[in-house]
Amino acid sequence: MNCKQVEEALAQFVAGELEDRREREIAQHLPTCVNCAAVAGEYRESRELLQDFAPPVFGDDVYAEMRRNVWRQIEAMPQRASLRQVFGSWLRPQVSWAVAMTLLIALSALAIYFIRKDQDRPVQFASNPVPTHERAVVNTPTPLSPSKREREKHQAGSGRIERRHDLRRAPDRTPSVALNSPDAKSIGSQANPQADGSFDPSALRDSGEKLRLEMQTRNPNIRIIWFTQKEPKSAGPHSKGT
Amino acid sequence: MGSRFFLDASTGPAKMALALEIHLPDNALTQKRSALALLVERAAAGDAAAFEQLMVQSQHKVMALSWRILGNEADARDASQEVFLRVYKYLGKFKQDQEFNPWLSRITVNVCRDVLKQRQQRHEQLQDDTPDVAQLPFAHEDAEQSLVRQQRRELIMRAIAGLPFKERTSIILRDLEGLTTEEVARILKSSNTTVRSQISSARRKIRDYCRRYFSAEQSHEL
Repeated sequence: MNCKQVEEALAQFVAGELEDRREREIAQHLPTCVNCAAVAGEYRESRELLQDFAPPVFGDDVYAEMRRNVWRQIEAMPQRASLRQVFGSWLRPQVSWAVAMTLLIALSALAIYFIRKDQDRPVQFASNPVPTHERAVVNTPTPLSPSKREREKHQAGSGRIERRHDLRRAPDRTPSVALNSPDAKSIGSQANPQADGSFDPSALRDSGEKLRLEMQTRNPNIRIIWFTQKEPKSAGPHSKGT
Repeated sequence: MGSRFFLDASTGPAKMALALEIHLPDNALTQKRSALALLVERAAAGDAAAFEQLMVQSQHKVMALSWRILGNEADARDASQEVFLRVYKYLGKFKQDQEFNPWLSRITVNVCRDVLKQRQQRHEQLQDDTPDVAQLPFAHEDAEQSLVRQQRRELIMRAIAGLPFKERTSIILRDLEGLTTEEVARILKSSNTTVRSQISSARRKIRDYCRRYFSAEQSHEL
């Protein structure tokens, strides 16, 4: 070992912290090197000084006053409830029952509210059919119904518009069926009453009558009208198709 | 089987050796530790008498360590009070499977660090107040043994006060409190290597400070 390595380990050597092998090597080096021996001496002296560095002896009164001050400050501390104590108070029987009943009542009220809301919602898919003689009222200019001028423009090319005109001039005797309408059955039965009161569209076709289906969408401005007209089976070659 | 202690006494030219073998029960230390653990447990549960007893058992250790780190009695007393207040506050979080004394030492070191920071903020830097070695009264001026000892103690106190906080704490815990390097590392929340390096550096600085003092003393004598 050289002097630099020895000097780095001298503090630990003096403190007795080295392993046996290194301690023996340094112990063998020190008698041969004056500088290293002097440094080792300085480390021993400072270590002895350090060992003598004992704190002063404090009297019992010093310690007693210290403990009194500690208790005084502990008593002055704000008493903060621990989380355990806070949650424990919540779980007391009376409080827990009250909270549970309140929640139950609130949930029941919400459930009743939503159920009744669903029941009161009106069915919007279809409405009662408008009588045919009132078609003119229905077809008066509305935001989505064509104006009179537009109708006259398309008059030549659209049979539907013609029919509207026809409808305005003459009452339409075509029986119409409104889906989901409470009067559907009664209308059908007027045209072709069945034995059980139900309506048979095929009977209308065979008879050559017009079948008109109206469907009122949820949008009050939109109504789907479906016409079907067939020549009776016994009709001649000049009869029109659908 | 207990622990064995041997006392070897060789007397004069007869070279008569006497060996005394003492057996201690194995559970003596365990009993002591268990008593302390029980005391800590009772104090943590809110037993005021147990906490008072805990303070009585720990006050010397806490005051001595605080005095060594801070260097004066007033600061050591204030620091010790703060240490026990923190012990009271955090005793509920103390894990019963760990040892109480290292935990107490860690709190003491942290409190002393805070006191030193406050002192620095108040511009009361102890390092600035450290007198030059030439100003210290020399041993030859007073032949009384107690005065010499007091002066040597002041010398080492100044040398330690000149160290950075971590080196100061490391060497105090290792060389003065007698803890192992691993225990010191656990208290300071450092690695063993770092603690060894800090201790080596502290010893070297103390040695240099003492050498300068003794060199100045010799030159004064001359």
